[in-house]
Amino acid sequence: MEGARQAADKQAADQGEGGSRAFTVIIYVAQFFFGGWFLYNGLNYFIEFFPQPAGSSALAYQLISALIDTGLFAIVKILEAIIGAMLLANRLVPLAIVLAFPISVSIAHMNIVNVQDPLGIGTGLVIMALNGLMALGYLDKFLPMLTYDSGDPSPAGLRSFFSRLG
Amino acid sequence: MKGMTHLLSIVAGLAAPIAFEGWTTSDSGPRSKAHYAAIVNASQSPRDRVIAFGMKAFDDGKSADAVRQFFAEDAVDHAAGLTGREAIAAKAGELEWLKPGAPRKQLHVGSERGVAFAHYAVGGDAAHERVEIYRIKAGRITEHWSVVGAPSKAPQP
Repeated sequence: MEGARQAADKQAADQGEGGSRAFTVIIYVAQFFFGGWFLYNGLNYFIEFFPQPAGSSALAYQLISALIDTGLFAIVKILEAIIGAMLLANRLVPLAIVLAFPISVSIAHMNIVNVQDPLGIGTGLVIMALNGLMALGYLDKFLPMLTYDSGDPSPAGLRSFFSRLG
Repeated sequence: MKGMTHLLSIVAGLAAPIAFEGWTTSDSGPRSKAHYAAIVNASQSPRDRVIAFGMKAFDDGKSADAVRQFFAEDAVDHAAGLTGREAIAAKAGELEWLKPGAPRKQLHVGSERGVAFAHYAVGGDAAHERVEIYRIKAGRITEHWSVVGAPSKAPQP
């Protein structure tokens, strides 16, 4: 009787481990695809592996032109390259996911709302799905941010940060 | 993540978007050069389109090519009584005032609600002034009129 229970526990543990491994692989696939995508597109603005997309609708064209003319596009592209490198290096990944989120939302909005063709809509949905998947994969790192009552500010975080550096 | 797995993941992570972008931006892909050129065409204001048309037709001396690039396939030229881009392009190549080196000066360009105009002073033996009026839809000239008259005696800008 005891032996059967142990066997059942072991089977459940094995299944849990298998599911956990599959989850890890899925998150890594999302992370490395997203990282490669961001690094390639970020660098493309400066090196031009392929012609810099001018926008796939009149509104998107005007928006991208304004971003380029104001210099904001270069900042976005530098961020994309840095985020991509962080994700591919598998270092500071939670930070990269947070940094990527507003860029992903902007790309998704432009593609889904302004471009509205099948590739644009697909791109918008995929980029949000990948960013969301990565966030789920590292959710344990974000849980402290989800504190409803955050209490008073304190220097505890600064102390902890500098003690890690030291 | 182990070293070799990590390295392979980086290679795959870069290869997938490179292959995808390679396809989308190829001549047969949905983000080809022709796709972006069409977007740029549709995004320019009527005034910008007329200026761009004038630069190619007059400054570069390629009036027939300019018509092929900027006119809609079923465009109507009310001035010449012609319908269709090719017919208009053939006629544009014959017009004296459009030929390279013809003495002309662009005086004004303006536009409002899909219609643009360009005002020219043409010199030489057949000196005159003319206003070319264009209706533009989705970046293409769909209609054209000309108003031709004697040269103004007022000082030109």
